[in-house]
Amino acid sequence: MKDHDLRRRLMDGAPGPDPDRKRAFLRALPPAPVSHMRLLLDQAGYIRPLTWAASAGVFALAMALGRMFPADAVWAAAALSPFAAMIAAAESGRSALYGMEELELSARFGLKSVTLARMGAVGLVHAALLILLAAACGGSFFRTGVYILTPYLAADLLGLAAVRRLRGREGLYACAGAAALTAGLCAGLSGVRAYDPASFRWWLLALLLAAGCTGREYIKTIRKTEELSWSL
Amino acid sequence: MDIDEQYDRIYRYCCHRLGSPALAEDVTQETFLRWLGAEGYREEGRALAYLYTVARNLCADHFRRPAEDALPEEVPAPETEAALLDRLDLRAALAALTDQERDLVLMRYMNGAPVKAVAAALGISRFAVYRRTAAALAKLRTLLKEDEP
Repeated sequence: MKDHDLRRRLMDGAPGPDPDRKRAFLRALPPAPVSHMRLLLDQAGYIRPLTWAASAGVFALAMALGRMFPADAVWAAAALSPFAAMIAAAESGRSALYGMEELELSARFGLKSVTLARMGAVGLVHAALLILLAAACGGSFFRTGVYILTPYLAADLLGLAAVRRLRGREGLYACAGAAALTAGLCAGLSGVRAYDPASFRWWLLALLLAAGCTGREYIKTIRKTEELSWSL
Repeated sequence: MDIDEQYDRIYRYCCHRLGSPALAEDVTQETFLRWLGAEGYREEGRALAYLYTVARNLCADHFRRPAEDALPEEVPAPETEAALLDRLDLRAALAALTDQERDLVLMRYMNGAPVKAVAAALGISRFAVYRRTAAALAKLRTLLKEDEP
């Protein structure tokens, strides 16, 4: 007996399940839970390629400037990092920008989970790129990291606050304005020798402050999605 | 994992093991309910092994219970004499296999379950799955040939 015939005979030996009973059972099944990692990877797939391209572009530009002007590499990277933060903050308000909040709230994974997963995915990629950038700028890795991370977090803080308070395109413009303001401040600080080792403790203080406030702003952003679900 | 597709496969496996479509349906549904209630077995690969292990154990539990003399619920569908004889031959040939041989034929050969999942469900190595499936199929073919007029 041929392989195909034997398999067919075995398949035919058992009649198919009762379609009504099967359908009723499968419909009543709760959806299988998804792990955090799976959710993160799934949501990362929904982030627009433009977001990834823009992030990569900002970091590539910072690295290129660092190569061309090694003496100015640190402040150039610090001045460009707010634009990466702007991309991350804008991504958190994407649902509101396109008026998709209500639809996402009614989906299997609520807006809160989706927002958290997307911010996490962008944040992880940016963290990896920031580490690469800090290493590429030369000098002390820790110090350069602080110089780059501080304006990133400051711009993220302002961007998140803007996206949370202003709806639609206005939020996006305010986010871009906050990034430009922070970048301009970072560029301006290079003229007053703010990147000298003597001023480093102020940077550390600014980093701690920015980290604390950004964390608080993230919590507020997530809480806002919870409020939305209660108002349904 | 496509639950819809796996439902049919687990059902077919149970149907061959138990010989009753209604009972096979009950066991299949019980298998999926237990799988959904089990933490840590939902990833692809582990899930299939878990499903087959539960289905196999539930089928074995059924045979351990004292037999009930109730009338069968399902009315057999009308089929030709040749088809009926074919099915009876197949059932007799499958019954002549050992439990493990039958599981290998049904899980690996009929349902096309991955070797890894079958090995995990039966507690044997991948190599043993390949070797024993080939031996079980050869035995099944011989048994079916003997039944042919």
